[in-house]
Amino acid sequence: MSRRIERIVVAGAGLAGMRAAERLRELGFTGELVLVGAERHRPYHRPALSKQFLAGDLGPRDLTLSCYADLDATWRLGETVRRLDARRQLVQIGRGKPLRYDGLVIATGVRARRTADAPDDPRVLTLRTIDDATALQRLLRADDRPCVIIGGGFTASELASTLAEQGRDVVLASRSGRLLGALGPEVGHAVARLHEDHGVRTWLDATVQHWVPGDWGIGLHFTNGQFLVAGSVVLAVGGEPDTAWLAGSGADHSDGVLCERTCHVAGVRDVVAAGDVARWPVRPGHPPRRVEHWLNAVEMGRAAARNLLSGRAAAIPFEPLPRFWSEHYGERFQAAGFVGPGQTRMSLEGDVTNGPGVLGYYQRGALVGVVARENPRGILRWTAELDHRLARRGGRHRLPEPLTA
Amino acid sequence: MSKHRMTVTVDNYRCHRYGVCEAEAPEVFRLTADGRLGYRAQPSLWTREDVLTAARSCPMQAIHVETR
Repeated sequence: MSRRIERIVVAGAGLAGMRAAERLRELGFTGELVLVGAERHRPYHRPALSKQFLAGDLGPRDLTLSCYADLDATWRLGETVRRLDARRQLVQIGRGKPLRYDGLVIATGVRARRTADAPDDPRVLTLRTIDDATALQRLLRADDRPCVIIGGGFTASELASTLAEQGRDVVLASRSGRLLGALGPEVGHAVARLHEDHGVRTWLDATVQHWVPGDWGIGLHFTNGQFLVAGSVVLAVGGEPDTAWLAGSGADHSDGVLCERTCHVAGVRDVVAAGDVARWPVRPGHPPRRVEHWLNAVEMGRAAARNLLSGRAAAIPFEPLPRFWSEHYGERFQAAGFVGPGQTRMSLEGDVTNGPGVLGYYQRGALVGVVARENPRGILRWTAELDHRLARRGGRHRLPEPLTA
Repeated sequence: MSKHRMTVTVDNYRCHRYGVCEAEAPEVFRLTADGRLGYRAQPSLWTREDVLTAARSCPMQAIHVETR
């Protein structure tokens, strides 16, 4: 074996970290590769937790992600990165001695947020990790009282759908006046109606006023006047970037770690970031932001790895066309491009509020994003169209067939 | 290491026909008009990069690729 002269540390053994590691090997990196993961599990398919895993269709082993290169990595699972000294290129893992790196990939992701008022009680949990999902599964099996889900985003809504389909009594309570608020009222109404049709009690503009945990369950008094006793409560109120370890490193880590267009972490050498934790100028000319989409972790992990090896001078800007999906009661919602609550919306096909269709999102009169409901062929066409209209360099989502719209 | 053949399989139980694979490797995967997924089980090796991208990008992680 040749002498190893180089070491790349990947902080975070989730999807982005694994895809970065895989890409490093694909590109011929032969040095030492160290993957550090806070969870004790090899990288797994997190999106399935709120759906197939809790539905009982897939078990823990089914979730392990396939890797298409021989990683030959040193796995440090169950350990956390504690400190970064970017100037001396040292990273401290667990309680060990600081480890020198030649390259560092920051992919520590986000951790589930808890609301400040929620009691520290094993029946009040979050849903981010497989251990969280297993704990919830155990609670649900032992108890048929209502499960209360706090939140109005994708995780909250998908979880409500999974549990309702299993015949559970589900309450979905969101402090927002709309579900999936970022997508605008059409999609929000569509999902709210699906919940209603499946017997989920959806309380909007509602927060918990009092928590009353007792032996008999968790009492919750809501601001809308409702009181109920739940067997379990899931806080699905978003995540916080896992960046406390970057304090004093020189990297800007206010809301995720700030990167340049190439995924290089601003202000430090030989460090890139990818996935949920990274904040970068997603669209040229727009302020940097984070993108918590699954597919972004795949694409950014790979781009960051490539640019780490190439160095800043030869790096290629990472300007993806964001894409994501969500499933409720077997209905597929898919999005591409830039969709936000402040945009003008116009139907492109069908009517997403009431059935299959495609909704367009416009900025200054230009189509910049789409959401499709039960229309995967539509999203393929419109993704290609967006690639074309946004004149993306290296746009790779080819037109599969002539546009009909 | 020479690779001669690639075999693609899609787990029908997992696949929910989102069509992301078609966006990544249209030469191998295609959603049909009636909502099914058609694919080449032994595509040419030149499609390998795209097929692996499709497998990595699959929302349901339903694509299995083997190269020998």
